[in-house]
Order: sequence, then structure tokens, then C-alpha cells
Amino acid sequence: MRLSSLKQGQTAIMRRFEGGRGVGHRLASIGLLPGSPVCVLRCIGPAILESKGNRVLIGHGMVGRIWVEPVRDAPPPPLPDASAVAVTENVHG
Amino acid sequence: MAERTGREFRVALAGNPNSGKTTLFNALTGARQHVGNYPGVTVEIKEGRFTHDGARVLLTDLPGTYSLTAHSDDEKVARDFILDRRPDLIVDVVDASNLERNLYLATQFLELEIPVVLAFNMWDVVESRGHDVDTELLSRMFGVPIARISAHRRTGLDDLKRTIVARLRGETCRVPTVIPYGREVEAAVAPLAALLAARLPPDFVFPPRCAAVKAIEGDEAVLERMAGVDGGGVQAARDEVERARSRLQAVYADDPSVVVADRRYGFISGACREAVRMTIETRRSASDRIDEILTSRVLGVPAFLLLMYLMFRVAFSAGAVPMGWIEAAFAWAGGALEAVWPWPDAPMILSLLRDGVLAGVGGVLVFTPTILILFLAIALLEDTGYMARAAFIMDSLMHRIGLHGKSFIPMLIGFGCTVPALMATRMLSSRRDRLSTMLVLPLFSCGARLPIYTLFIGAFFEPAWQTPMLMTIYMVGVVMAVLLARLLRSTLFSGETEPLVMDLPPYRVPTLQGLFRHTWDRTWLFVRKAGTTVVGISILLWFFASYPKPDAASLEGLDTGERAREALQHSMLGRVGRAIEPVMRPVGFDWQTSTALLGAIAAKEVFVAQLGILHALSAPEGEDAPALSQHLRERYTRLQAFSVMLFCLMSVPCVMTMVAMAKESGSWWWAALQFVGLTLLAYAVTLAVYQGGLWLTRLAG
Repeated sequence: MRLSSLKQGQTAIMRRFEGGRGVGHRLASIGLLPGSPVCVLRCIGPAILESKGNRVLIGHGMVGRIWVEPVRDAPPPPLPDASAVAVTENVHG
Repeated sequence: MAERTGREFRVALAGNPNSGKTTLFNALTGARQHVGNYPGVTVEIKEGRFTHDGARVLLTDLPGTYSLTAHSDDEKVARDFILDRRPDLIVDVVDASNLERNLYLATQFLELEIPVVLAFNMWDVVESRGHDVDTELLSRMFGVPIARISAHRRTGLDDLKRTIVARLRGETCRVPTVIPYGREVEAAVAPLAALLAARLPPDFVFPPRCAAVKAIEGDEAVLERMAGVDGGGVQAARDEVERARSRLQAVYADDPSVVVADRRYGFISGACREAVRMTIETRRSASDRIDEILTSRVLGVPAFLLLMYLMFRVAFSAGAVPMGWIEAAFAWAGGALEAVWPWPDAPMILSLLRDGVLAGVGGVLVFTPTILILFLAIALLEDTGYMARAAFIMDSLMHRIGLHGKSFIPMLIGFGCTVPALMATRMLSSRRDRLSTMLVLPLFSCGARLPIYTLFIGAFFEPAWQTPMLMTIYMVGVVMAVLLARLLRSTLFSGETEPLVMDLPPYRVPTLQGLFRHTWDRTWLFVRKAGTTVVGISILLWFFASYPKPDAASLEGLDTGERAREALQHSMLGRVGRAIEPVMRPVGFDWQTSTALLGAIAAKEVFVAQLGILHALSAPEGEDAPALSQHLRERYTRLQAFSVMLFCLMSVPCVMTMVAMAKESGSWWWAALQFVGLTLLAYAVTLAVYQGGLWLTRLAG
């Protein structure tokens, strides 16, 4: 399915990209390759994805051109809770 | 090497955006830095020096890039610098808390056969997270020296300098590892590299293996440079590249560039699996909590608008006070110059200096405080990481207009001044996006046009209507920009918008030094223009507005104000103003407003001053705004006032804008097109509004 059909918080594996050769390479150079797991943190047209601890912003025009395979029965990502935040806060202090 | 010949070592500082490259550059070079002079390069490249153990190093701070295959103009600058100027060494700044992605660029540097040192930055973060990175092992696996640093905390810098100098002197000579691309890709790379080694000149910018890999990736830089090589042999190599690409495409059902990237990441994650002990978990950081609000579907846009409102509110209100000081200072300087002028026989030189140079430069410099505050606010938004979120918020809207998600950043700056806004378009990756953004930028009404609106709105509209009126003018500009951008994107620059893909760095507390540098660098560009371009243009315009002079007889019996009017009326500017009056009459202009419009080409706010002179109501330097408003009210209709504002909003970008447009777009043709296009647009719109208004008035009357 397309990335745009994923729900917020859902995890999926990147499969392939539609579009010119620049698109795939652009995504690859920022760390999104076929086979990479991604989690949709937010999708309001453009999307914010999480992949290997990084946050990546994907524009509106791009979201519909990425094909993914949803990971079934994946546990929902932990909701923000105070104790988890205390440990990982201030990432780049 | 360089040292024996007495030359400095040239070292390039490269790395991903947000890797802390510029912080490191500042920490290494301190105050000893300047903007490098590279003709033809549109992006300012900073250079700085440091000395270590007797070795002199010239360090160049390159724009951030994710890959040697460049997408944006910024990245092309970084790539071309490395390829064409071949530094003695590349320091690749790596965000050690985000190793895999940052090492991707490093794998490409390894193939260039230029010595590389990896600076593992943000080491303090790695330690505080309790991660364990065996840099010695990684150094052996990559075949390059690695130094652990924290540019932010200024730790490990001496060790980095030592590593750089030792590598430059050849004391630590590690052979860069050859990245393996797997059987299928290697089967294509090896014969191609052999072919290229035979056919390309030995001083070709890419070593053969690197050229082969890049060509298979479809990288335009290598293909272009191959095309530049003479001889029929290269054509055979190009055919071989195409064959190899389509073969790999068939095998993997994916673009070869993605396959190659995948192999590089494979090598990196293999290395990291052995050398790195870190827990990558789905972290929910404070940064994510802030994003819950700032990027949400409901609150994101209001939060963005509120921030923008605050930014402009502060810039225009807090900027007003120092603006007054600068105005006063220039007025004082003009008066003082006149008082001490030692050559009474040469009044025209006094006039040139006072009314030409001082008034012209002062008229531009007076905006410095507002622009400085605006740039500070923008630096704050950038350095905290909010700009990337704003790009996210604005992407859907920009996408509908046909522009890139990041296009709104220059547009925002455009409300302050169009010149730095044009420079800010460098961050856009495709030339189509960049040019269409640049062409519509003057429609975002800059700060210099505000005095025109203030004058006319103050004179013609009741207090209750003044703010809505001002908003209307600004909104007309925005709407015209949107329409024009859509038009450009469907005609001149048709084609798909370059997709927005960017790293979303976590929010961070900006450093004072960083804020200061970002603000100062941009403000200085503006001030420097006022000291160079504007001086020349001011002199020219002064000349046109002063000559030919009316003869003494016609000035007899007139007071100072009337004399000034006579002189301007008689000058070339005045004559041209009269000459274009028939053309301008249908849009509500008379010869006075037409002449003032010509003066506004120098800088928009000159319009007000010239109108004052032409109505002989204020002496050249002393402003008497209430009297001018009164006079305008008697002379023009409200519809004319609105037409004048509309025309000033859309027409004729100022000279600084034209110069910047020509420089940034690389051609005077684009500046000319912008000039003509916007003026025609202004004429068409104002004509419709004015004539429509007249018709309605007739109907009503």
C-alpha cells in the first residue's frame, strides 16, 4: 500500500518509490531505503517518519509515491509518558 | 607536500546538514575567518585559518550535504568545490549520535582518493546516552583516522587538529577501504572502471573506480565531466554506462542508484554492528512532545501564524526606535557637511555628497535595525529547529501553489527585504522551484514600501479603516504572488515540484555565538550592498534628478520648497516623469506621482521624499508629513491613492533587488524579465482597479 494510506503510529517496511531516479537516491541518502522500517509519527498531507531513531520529513508530493508493506501485529508505539521522556530528553543539549 | 613549498594546506570541512559543521568551523578558526572569493559561486563560502604545530591550515566550510550526488545548489557548491579544487584533505563532520546516516557521505569521500579525517562530533551526547563506539575499530574498517570531538563543548579539538596535521604530513597513512558493492554491481563496476582508466585523462576529477560507481548511479556530475573530455573513446564508455545501468535495473527492478546506496548502507551497518553498542529504541523525547503541538493538524497552522505575527510585530515596532536614530544621524551628517563645506564654489559636489550619497545610503541603512531583528528572529527559528517544522506545516499549501515546501522561508524574509530573500532561495533544490520563487518574491511587500502605504492610508482613510486597508494591500501582494507562481509553474517552469525530503533535527537550545553569526552574516550582506551598489546608484539617480538645472531667472522670487520643485521638474527625471504621464494617467497617476515612481527605483521609500519635493511642501531633508497628507487629500481621490499603493506594491522592483536577482539567477535576463513582467502585471491590475472604480463611481454618481 501507499505510505499515505498508513495510519499515524503505524509501522511499515519501505518497498519501492515511484518517480525519477533522483527521488530514490534522495530518500536513500537520508537513510530511507527499500527494506527500512519506518513509523509514521504524523501525516497531515506531508508526513514525519521515524526510521532508525531519525525523524525525516517527507513532502506532500512524495508521500503518495512511496510504497510500503505494513508490519502486522506491531505493538503500538509507546505513548509519551513522563518517565520515558526523563531518560531521553535533551538529545542534543 | 604543501608545507615544504611554503604553501598553506587546504582543508575542506564537509558533512551532513545539522552535523555541527559550522560550530566546529567557528571553534577551530575563531575570529580568523572571512568569506572566500570564488567567482561564479553563488553561495558564500567561508574560509578560516588555524595553525597547529607549525602547519598552517586554510579551512573551508562547505554547505551541508547528504551525498556527493548533489540535489540543491548548495550541495552542488560543496560537490564542485571538492571535485574541482581538490583540497589536500577533507574533514567529514559526522554526528556520532546518528552514525549510520552520517557515514553514508563518508563512504563516498573514501572513493575520491583525497585524504579524509572523520570528526565524530557530538561525542558528549554519545557518552551521555551510554553508547559505546569503538572508534579505533571503525577507523581500521574505514581506513581513515577518526577524532572524537564535541564542537559544542569545545572538547577534543586539539586532538582533531593533531589528527588533521599528522594525516596531512603523511605520518598516519591509512589506505581508505574499498567499499564492496556485491557481485552484480561489481560485475558492472570493474570493467567500466578499467575502460574509464584507459580512456579518461589521468587528471580526471574522479578516480576510475569512483567515476564508474557514480556513472552507474546516474550522477550528473560525472556524466557532465565525462562529456567535457575530448576524444571518441569516452562515447564508448558512455554507452557502456547505459548498458550497465539497464542491466542492473533489470536485475534489481530498482534504480541502480538505490542499489548502490543500499550496498553502502550495508557496508556501514556491517561496520557499526561490530564497533557500536547502542540501543536504538523508539524514543519519545521532549522534542516529540513539542511536536505534538507544533506539527498537529489543528494547532500547527495557528501556532505558525502566531509566531510569524510576533516576529513582524517585534521587528517593526522595536526597529522603529533605532531607525529614528539612524535617520537623525544621517540628517545631522548632511547638515554638518554643509556647515563645514570648505569650497563654496563647488555646491554641486556638496549636493552630490549630501543629497546623493548620504541620502541614498541613509535611506537604505535606515532599515538595518528592522532587518537585523527580523534576521535574528529567523536565526532563532532556524537554530532551534522550528524552520523544518514550519516547512512541514506549509508544505501542503505550497504544494497546491506548485512551489516547494521550503519556498515559504524566502517569502517570509521577503516581507522584511527582498534582497536577502533572494539569497535565501539557494536552499531550494531544483532550478525551476528556485526561479519561480525568485520571480514572485518582490510581491511580498518589503519594509521599504511601508512608508508609502503609511502616507497614503494615513491621508485618505479613517483610523478605523487604516489597519484593514494595510492588510488588504499586503494580501493583494500575497494573492498575486500565488497566482503568478501558479502561472509560472504551468508555463515557463512546467514540470513536477522537487519533492521535499529533509531531516527533522530535534529541537535544541541555540548558542549565542551561532545566533550572532547567522544574524550578523546576513545583516552584513545587506549593509555591504548599501555601501557599494547603493552608492553608485544613488549618485546616478542624484544626477538624473539634478540635471539639467533650470536657469537662475526662472527661480527668482521662489522659496526653497518651490525652487526644489522647479529643479526636479526641470531635471531629466522630471522630464521622463512628464513624458510617461499619458501612459500612467489611465492608472490614476499624474506627472508628480510618475516622477516619484521613477525615483523609487533606487529604493522604494524614496517615493515619499520625492512626492514631498514635487509638491514643494517640504524642503529636501526636513519632512513635513502632515502638510503633505493634507495636500495629497486635496489633490487626489481615494481611488487614486489606492491605485498608487497597488502600483507601488507590484511594479518595478528596486535596483538592489534587480542586482541581487541577476546575481542569484545567474543572468540579467531573469532580472529584466522580472522587471518587465511585474511592471506589466502592476499596470494591468491597477488599470482594472482604477477604471473599474471610476466606472462604479460614475454609476453611483
